[in-house]
Amino acid sequence: MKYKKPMNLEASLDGRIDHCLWCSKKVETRTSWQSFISNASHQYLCFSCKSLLQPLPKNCCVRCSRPLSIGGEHVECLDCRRWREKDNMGDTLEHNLSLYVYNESAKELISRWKYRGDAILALIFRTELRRLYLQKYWDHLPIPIPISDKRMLERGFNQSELLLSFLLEPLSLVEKLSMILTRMKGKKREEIPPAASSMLLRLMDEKKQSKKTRYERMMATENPFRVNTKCSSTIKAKNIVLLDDIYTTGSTLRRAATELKSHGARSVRAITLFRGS
Amino acid sequence: MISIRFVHVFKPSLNSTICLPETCSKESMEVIRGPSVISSLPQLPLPDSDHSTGSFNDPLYHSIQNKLYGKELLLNELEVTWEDLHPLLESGIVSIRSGLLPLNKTFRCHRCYTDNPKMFGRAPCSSCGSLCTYCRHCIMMGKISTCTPLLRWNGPSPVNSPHPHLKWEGTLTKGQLKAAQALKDSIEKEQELLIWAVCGAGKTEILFPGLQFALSKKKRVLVTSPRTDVVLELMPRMQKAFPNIPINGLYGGGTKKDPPASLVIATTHQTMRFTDTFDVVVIDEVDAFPFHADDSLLHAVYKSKKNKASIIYLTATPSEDIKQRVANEDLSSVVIPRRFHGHPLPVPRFQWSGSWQKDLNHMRLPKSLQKWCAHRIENGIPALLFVPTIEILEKVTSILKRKNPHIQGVHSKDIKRHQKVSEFREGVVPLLVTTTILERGITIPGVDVAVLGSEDNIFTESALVQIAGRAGRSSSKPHGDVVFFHFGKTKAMKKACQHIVKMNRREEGK
Repeated sequence: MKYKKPMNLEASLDGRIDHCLWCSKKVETRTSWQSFISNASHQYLCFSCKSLLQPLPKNCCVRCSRPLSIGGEHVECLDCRRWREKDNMGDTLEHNLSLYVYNESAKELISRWKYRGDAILALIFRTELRRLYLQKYWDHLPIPIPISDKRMLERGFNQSELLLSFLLEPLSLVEKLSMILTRMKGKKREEIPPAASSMLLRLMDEKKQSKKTRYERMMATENPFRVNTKCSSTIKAKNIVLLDDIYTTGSTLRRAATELKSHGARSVRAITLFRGS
Repeated sequence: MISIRFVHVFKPSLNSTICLPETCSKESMEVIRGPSVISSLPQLPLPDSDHSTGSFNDPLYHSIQNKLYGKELLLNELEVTWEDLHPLLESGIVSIRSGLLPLNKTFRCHRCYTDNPKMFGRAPCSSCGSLCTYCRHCIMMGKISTCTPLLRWNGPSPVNSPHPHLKWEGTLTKGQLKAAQALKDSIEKEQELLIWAVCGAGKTEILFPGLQFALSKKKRVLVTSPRTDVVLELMPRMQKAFPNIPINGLYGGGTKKDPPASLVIATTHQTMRFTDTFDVVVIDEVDAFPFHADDSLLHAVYKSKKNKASIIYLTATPSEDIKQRVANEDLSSVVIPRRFHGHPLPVPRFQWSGSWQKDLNHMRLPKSLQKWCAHRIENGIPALLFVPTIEILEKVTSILKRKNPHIQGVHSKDIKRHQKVSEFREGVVPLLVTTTILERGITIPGVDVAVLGSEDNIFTESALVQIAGRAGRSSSKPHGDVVFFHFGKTKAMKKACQHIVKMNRREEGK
């Protein structure tokens, strides 16, 4: 099956990107063998803007990537335990991996990207997101968290779908090579149906998650997500990886996961760009 | 998904073609082009302003008039729907044009006037259902993409300005008077003028007579400066001088929404929203960032003026191209080489301080600078220390803080910046370390100024002249020490020094 043609994001009309997408200053690019072979490692941020994105620390909850103050391996944070013990079913979301800490700079970035509508800022995460996906979830079916129609009209795009478009791009030579070297070699890639972006629907138009309190978020009972009835067969017995921008309490992802599981998904994991704490 | 498409319709009653959203067009109308995405429709000629037809007396009309007069705004900035606007669109009082104008391979943004292909992004858009180009340069003011229309007001003006009473009881010096007269003349003749006045010449006072003249002729005046700090400082001074004139003060983060006034004081970014409305535009510090680096902003300021208008450039350090224009007699100019108190400008001293970066790495200051700082702190002389970068600023501040914990550092990304500067004014902070952010617009009586690493590229001739101009600004303490600590003199340093000496000589020669 043919993959859906990736959505185009262009950061410059003349086809050359030598400026930082965040501060617009010129970026010095070093020509290396890797840059010669693949374009995936393109620098979209200048050095000082890149340092504003703070990678997650070593001490993290093994399940939700929450930065923890106490050390130790294989520690599960309190929230995750609560989620696990909340229903008898256990936690519907098995795992969340985030790229960066949700700090002040990330907040600014998200606000410009999502709320101001600077869609191409998504490119900043392209390389890292692809790497994570290829290393860990190559055999999973990626599904972006949908937004409601009303939000779609307001914003003009769904940020998670932009992230999905990066994962659907064909493999570059370097990526193929590194795939052979890693464990993912033998695993077969899930076939991604052309309508991957509309497999999950968001029906209700609720208050923005970011405007709710922590309690409101965790206690909400109604599930705004529905599996698209046309796609319910594709989900059955699949390992799924959800894509979203921020993980704060994890309730959005968990509600999506519950809906997917009730339609027969085998497991649901998530990749998020930022982990709030 | 709904797509907003537009049509060009011929209106016999106006005898012209107007642009309407598809949803507002009726079958009886004579559609010339469309429906189509707005940027793919050809540009219609801009209607004449002040063509007022029909009378509307509902509150919506007045609220739209107040928000839109003299500006170009997005639909959501106006907070109305197309249905609300429909009667105004049909009568030609409000017109629509595309936010982005296609130019052979790139676009031009009609708000910020950028046409740099690097400042545009292209992404899928659900409102027009295709790939859509948008301007990233002014995105923080609301997204303008190829499917976004800009609305403009062509109806009568809501500005009603009383006769201005100038309540300022100072006297102008000879130099100031000369400049004020030249300003008045060029306002009358709608010409351009450069006022080249040294730092501390009293530029604001020069404006008063000219502004009074312009306001009494019912002209609309814009005073624009690249910096918010300058706008905040100018506002109360202007209001005090013209107590019966309403003033619009516009700056990033400002929330006041007054009806449009005849005197507008705004940052350059805020002037991007205006179009064809000002008769007099005063550009303060034309050479300063962001004009300097960013050509589009200057065009955006030009866009805010009427076709026939006078532009006044105010600066202490004109750029080369402006000087060239003066030399070609393309631009008339008036020079005020002397400060309002009549004392000469302090001339900077050069002090070699060796490899000061190495010293900083060893957590110490170069000896000469250390002595200089210690002397100011002991004698209670306020001191400003300029450094090239934020990283160096942090190092220097931490070194100095060990000697005196009250010493502070400020830079553009500092949230407490305004508080620290006002503490410095009050004398709580004895010495303030700063990046070039404070090179302009700050007046502290009796301050001494030093630059560490004045050989850095960031310290251009104009930056150094401005920095030196911080010292000796008040008439009670007209002298001040200015030192450039360097590791090798640069052309810019020498030129800055020559510039100041020349200005001082110019006055003596007369």
